[in-house]
Amino acid sequence: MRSEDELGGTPLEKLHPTSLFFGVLGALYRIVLPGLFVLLFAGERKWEAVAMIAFVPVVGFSVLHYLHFRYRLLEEKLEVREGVIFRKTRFIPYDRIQNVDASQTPLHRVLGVAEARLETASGHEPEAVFKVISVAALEEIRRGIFERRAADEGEGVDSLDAELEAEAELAPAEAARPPLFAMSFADVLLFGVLSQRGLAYLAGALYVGWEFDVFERIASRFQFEWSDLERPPLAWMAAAGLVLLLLLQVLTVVWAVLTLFQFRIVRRGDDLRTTCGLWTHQTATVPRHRIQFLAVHEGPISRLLRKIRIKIVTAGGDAMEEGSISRKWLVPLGSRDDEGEILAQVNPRVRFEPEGWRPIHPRARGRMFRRWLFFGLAPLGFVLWRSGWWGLAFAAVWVGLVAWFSGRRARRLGWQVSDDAVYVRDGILGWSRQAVPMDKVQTVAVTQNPFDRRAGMARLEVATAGPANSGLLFSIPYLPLATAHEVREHLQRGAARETFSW
Amino acid sequence: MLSDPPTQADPGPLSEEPDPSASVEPPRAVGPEAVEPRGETAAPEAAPAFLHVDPLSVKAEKLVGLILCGLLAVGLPVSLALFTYLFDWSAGLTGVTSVGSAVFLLLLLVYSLRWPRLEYRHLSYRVSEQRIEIRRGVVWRTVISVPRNRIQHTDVAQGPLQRHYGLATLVLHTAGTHNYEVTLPGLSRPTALAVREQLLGDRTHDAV
Repeated sequence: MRSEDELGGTPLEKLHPTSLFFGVLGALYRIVLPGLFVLLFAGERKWEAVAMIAFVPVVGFSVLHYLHFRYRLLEEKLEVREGVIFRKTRFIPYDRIQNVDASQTPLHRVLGVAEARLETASGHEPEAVFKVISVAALEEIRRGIFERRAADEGEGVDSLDAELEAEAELAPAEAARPPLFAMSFADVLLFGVLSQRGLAYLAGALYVGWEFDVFERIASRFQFEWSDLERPPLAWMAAAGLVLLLLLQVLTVVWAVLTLFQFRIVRRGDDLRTTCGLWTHQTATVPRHRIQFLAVHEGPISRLLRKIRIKIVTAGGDAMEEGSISRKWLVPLGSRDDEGEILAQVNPRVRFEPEGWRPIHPRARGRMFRRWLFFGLAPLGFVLWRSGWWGLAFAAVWVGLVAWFSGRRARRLGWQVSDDAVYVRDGILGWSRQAVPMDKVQTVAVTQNPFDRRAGMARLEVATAGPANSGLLFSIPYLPLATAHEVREHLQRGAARETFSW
Repeated sequence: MLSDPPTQADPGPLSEEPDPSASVEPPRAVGPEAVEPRGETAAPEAAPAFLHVDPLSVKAEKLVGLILCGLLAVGLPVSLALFTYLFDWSAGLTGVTSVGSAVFLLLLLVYSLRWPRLEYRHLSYRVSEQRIEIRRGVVWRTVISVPRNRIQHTDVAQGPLQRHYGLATLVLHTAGTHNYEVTLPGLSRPTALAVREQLLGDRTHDAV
């Protein structure tokens, strides 16, 4: 660390001293709790307790990690040095930073620190993780990054943005600015009801219980054998199931309130800053111009309630894996009436024209109908074989459903294209609309499988720089071939006109 | 990335060397009847015609298939004998498996002699001011277009067999996560380098 000043910039900074404490706490959380669990249920297998010795090196590691972690803000880049045995010095140019995420548990808040992650477009893991730094230092990093970047890009930030930026400097208190979107408490509750997170938890609990033979232990404690159990009456089982489901709903709602409480988006210059959380405060910052892909979802139920979800995808950073809700959804649940206003702020060039949707190939419905019918053949045959005449009723229902679904989807499927973006909509019961801004279009492909060829149709696929595992590939199926090529030409010219910036 | 300059005389960006052995037809622009998308004939920018890759690639691909067949022709009987010996296969089982392998090998042979030609016929490309378009696929057909200003970097790659025939594969990388690597195999190496030059040269606005 002799060469500290040769690059200029601020001197190397350490993490916040409480990092040590949180490192040990994290180790405790990861090792001691499962360890206790093991001890409780280990029975004779006491040797498993010995495994807890692993705790010592983990604590040691977190101490060393703290001692060796340094960072500083240089003129154009952030420097991060870390590593105990293998030293690593990393330079992250400010203009390549996609997101700055921070989260604060209640304990973090008491101590005035936060955990922060920096992401660039490069992919899977965060480029730098600050675990933990003081809130003041975080603010300084943020300001350093976004101000310097704004200064660098100059042209890229339009005058309105610059104005807002200046205003932001005068009044750093974000609360003063009206948020672009604030999620109402009712919507938070509704979000909890609509998303069945509880089921996942139950599955996890059951798995853990099964893994550690908890059920057997409980059973043996109460001297009872599963096989003694008479088959319970149907009503009893149904009631138990209902109670369980209710319990799960309550759990999900509690989870939603904990994570999404006071969810709000504030626009600050070119950045969208999202904050939420009751206990653990989460902050995510997304530069607007990094948004590769926009999607508006309306589930079957939320559609009836006129609610929407907005999802955005930025380059790199596997948001899904990170699991932070504010990265998964830009708007977890909001009113459809606010959609236009939010989208106009997120990207003014992206506008779903309600009247502008153009249809797909007229014979697409027949293809979908036949395809789904075909995929249903095997189960249908099985049912017919097993249940005879009743199976016929089932088959009739099946055919009816397929006809209804294919008709609905054929009517719903549509696309539109402008000089600014390309759009597609899809859905049967739940609806989705997707948009790719013209400057984010990468390659455009028109593909035809043998069925497409016979019917003179094609699928248009637009690749963007969003993360690979987001499951979001922009594609318009069942287009007439000539139309597909026309759209491809249009997108090609549009993409060639506009420079791509990450 | 191979970046040494072309050793032979540069045949110009889009021309192809005539095939000396003349076992396959010389390169030609693909006629509109073949795969030209309908309803698009009057494209605003006067687009050059789609071009085939080097016909030598058919030979190279055939050779790859034949080598694979040869390896299997040795490997299958040996492993069959080994199985019969080690697991005490009955004569019936051995017989059925031998016939099965023979049929499979025959089919593979036919495939590797016929397929490269089909593939060649359905692979073509065109480079224009703004982009490169690649058309490929015998059963599943794809036309993919890559805007020039979206190309992040390019490779010109050669395997040992390709090197023997003076062929190369042009690989275009984009920032997309889907179709991020667009390949154009079977070009003669000078052509590959020329196409790359044409795609990367005088990039007026560098994206990032």
